[in-house]
Amino acid sequence: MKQILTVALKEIKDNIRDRRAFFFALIYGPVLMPLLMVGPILFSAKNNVIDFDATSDLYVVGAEQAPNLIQMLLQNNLVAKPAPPNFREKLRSGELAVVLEISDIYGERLREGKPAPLFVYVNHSSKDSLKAANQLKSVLSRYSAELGYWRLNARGLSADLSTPIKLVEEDVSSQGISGMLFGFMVYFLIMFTMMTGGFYLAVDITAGERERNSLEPLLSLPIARWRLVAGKYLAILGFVGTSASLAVACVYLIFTLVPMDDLHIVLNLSGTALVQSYLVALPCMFFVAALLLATSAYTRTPKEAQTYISVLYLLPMAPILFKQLSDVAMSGPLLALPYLGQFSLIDRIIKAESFSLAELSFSVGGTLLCAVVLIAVALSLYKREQILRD
Amino acid sequence: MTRVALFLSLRILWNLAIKAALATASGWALVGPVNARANPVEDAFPEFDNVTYLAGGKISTQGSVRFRPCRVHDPDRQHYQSMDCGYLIVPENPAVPTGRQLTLFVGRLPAIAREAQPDPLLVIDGGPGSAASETFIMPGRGLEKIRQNREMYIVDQRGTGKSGRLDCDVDEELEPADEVDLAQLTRECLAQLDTDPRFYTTAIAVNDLEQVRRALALEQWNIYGVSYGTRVAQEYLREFPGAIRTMVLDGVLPPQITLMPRIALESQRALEQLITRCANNGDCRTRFGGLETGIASLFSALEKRPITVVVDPFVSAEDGTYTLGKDELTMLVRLSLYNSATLAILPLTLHEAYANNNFLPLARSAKKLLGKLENTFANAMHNSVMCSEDFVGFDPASLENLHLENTYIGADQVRDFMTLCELWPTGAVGPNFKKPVISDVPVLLISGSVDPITPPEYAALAAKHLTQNHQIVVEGFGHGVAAIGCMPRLMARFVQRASAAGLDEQCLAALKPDPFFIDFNGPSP
Repeated sequence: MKQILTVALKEIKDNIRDRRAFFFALIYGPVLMPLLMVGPILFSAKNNVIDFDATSDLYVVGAEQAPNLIQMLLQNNLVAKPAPPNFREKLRSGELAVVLEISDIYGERLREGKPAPLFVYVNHSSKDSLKAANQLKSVLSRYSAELGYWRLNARGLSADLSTPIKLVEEDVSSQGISGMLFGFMVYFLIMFTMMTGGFYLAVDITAGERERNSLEPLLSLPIARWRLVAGKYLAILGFVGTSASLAVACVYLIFTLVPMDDLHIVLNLSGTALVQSYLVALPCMFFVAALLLATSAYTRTPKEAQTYISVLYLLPMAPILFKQLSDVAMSGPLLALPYLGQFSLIDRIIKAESFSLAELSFSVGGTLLCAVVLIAVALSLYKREQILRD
Repeated sequence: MTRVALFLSLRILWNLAIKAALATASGWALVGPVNARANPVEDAFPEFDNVTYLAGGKISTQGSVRFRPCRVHDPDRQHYQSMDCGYLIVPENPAVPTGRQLTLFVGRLPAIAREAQPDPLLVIDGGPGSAASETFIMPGRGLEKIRQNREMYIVDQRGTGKSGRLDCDVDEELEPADEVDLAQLTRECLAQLDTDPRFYTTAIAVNDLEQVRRALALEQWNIYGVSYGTRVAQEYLREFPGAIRTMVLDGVLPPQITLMPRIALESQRALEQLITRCANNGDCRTRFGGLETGIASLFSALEKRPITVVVDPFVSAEDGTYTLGKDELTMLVRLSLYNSATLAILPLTLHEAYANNNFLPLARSAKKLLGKLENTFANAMHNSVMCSEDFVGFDPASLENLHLENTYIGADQVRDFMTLCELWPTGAVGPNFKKPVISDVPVLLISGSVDPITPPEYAALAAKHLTQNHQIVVEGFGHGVAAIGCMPRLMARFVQRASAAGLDEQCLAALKPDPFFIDFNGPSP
């Protein structure tokens, strides 16, 4: 055991000394990737969906002429602020999103029971402006309809008269907001950072050492081959694990810092869900480390190893393709396939769905089995004398 | 007093005004009839009124209850809702399981999100006599956010809607009924019923709900109860504490309160609050000065001499004359006080009548409103609940001390009910029924500050022995506040976390009741 650890520590120390390797293993994958992936998605989700519950400022011209209208807007979370005199330019430059002008005849026309004009200034070339205008228009048209309804009611008339057709919308979708995207994201981040975390070390550990001619003295030490392989494996596993753990912590921080309360009701993005996802992904660490070890033992030069492993980066995507191309339900023995099992189960965790112990066992067992097979392959490669030849 | 008005005055129309307001939010027209009828040979699902089973719908089960996809609408065909329709058969008399059977309607709305939490939401409607399957299919009840990740169950309480509706026909065209004996009317009503009214009380209804929960094989559910539904919910909590995870009570009636004699007092308070609010509001004060004396004069004038006006029939071809008397006015004022939007119109229509001698808007509104009520409440079920539960321990001699004659509704309503209840067969009430409910289940109690029937003090009284209670009062609003402002969000949070800790109620502060209509074109800008 001591020998194994010595080898493992040596490899880890080497890898940490290499700044570039360190950056990719522990910064790029676990920290930058979540920021790059999750950030824009959350940002665009917030951008495109009108949140009628959130309070926002509305710039108004002539607010003093219609206090009741302003109160109604406030009740709809639009807080009126006086618009600056040069609001047209500010709209054009994007400083303001939308401006409401209450015309001087608004009150008078309202009192006469005639349509009362309100002007909405919008910049059609700006997404923010269109979104803000849509919110304002929908609030105002609802107000208009309600006022009309109660005008008739005040006279004791039935508003049914003015609405000849009632359209009833039927939603036939079985699911509301899908957790698909988020489930995929959490899965992908964990898997991807596992790969990135072990990448440099794996390349360096066999092909690299061979190139530097340091493998031969290592192999000539009085230490069993399997112990050597186990040490290297442990070193890779350490980086794979650290990297994945950091990624999960990072995703958790992002979700905690971005307030998405309503989404939390539909999607299970709690710390618990992330920890569960992490645990489900855990067996895959052994698999990824073994995959990296075997691949690098098989290749001759670091360059070749890099090429091979870059191709392996596509592997985590396989379940997504599989899901899109096949109609097979992802359950039962299929879950034994590495990546596919993790993907399916993490997806379900994020959607707050359940899975059975049997399904979990398939995933854990299958993945670990594959890991063992790959380690055996790596070991057999190391046992051949060919490992030293270029 | 016409016969119609007599019977209507017997009703406690708790949440009608909520409905009127909701109609605005939801649109108000009709769609053509739907023809897809279920084939009765194909399966054994019962035919329910206002239910259309959807062709090709797959039958599913929850526990031992079978469900079929269906579309449910209210009797007015104002609202349609697709859901799963199921049923449960229970004995009318729980003590005689082999006796007459009753089919309870059980509706299920799926959660909006893909996978639901194991504990769904059960909604309990008010009245008594109103059917959950008719009122909870209206959009904008404030429960959508809870429904995000919870199924919602709609069970018609026995005696209402599709669960053996207990209702007497009232002939609208009868002559003025001053001479008609109320006792005689009550006997006629009882003769119409082929069921035993004693078994349509809250305690038995609660037992039904528990049977439904067990049949559905649900471990627990969350409960939203409104108005009289809060009495049902509290009694359910008392009898079956383990069945309930959380509870939201909206317009709370504590078990200790004997409601019936207090209705006139609370409604009078709400009317006075309205008069004060109008006096403190620039627009309302300038337009409708002397509102208080005006209203008083209107009541006394109509009491002395009802006014007959020609009301344009508009939609139907019925006779256009309508007689507006004190009873009609009482009902209109009473129901207008429930809701912020109808409240906003009230000073205007009253002022038109007493100041400008224009009775038409008032008469039209009263006719429309009273016609609507006919459909809404199962009056016999209502009587069973009121007679069995609301005069328990009530000393008629104490009536004098309440000074009901100082209210616009007066004491007649209570006296009429006492006459009726002498004849009405009443069900037994348990020894604890009038005692406060003691529980540590999380309960959220919400009230409007100007509620004309269940004021916030009632909620405080109900909360006394609920260790995990939280109360919210919405300033300036009336009866039923679940849909107002950010309340849906607050309720969803509460149900989700089963705790009121950290609820941010600041968002309610910006809410103000609808501004007064200063003329028929609406409020000032």
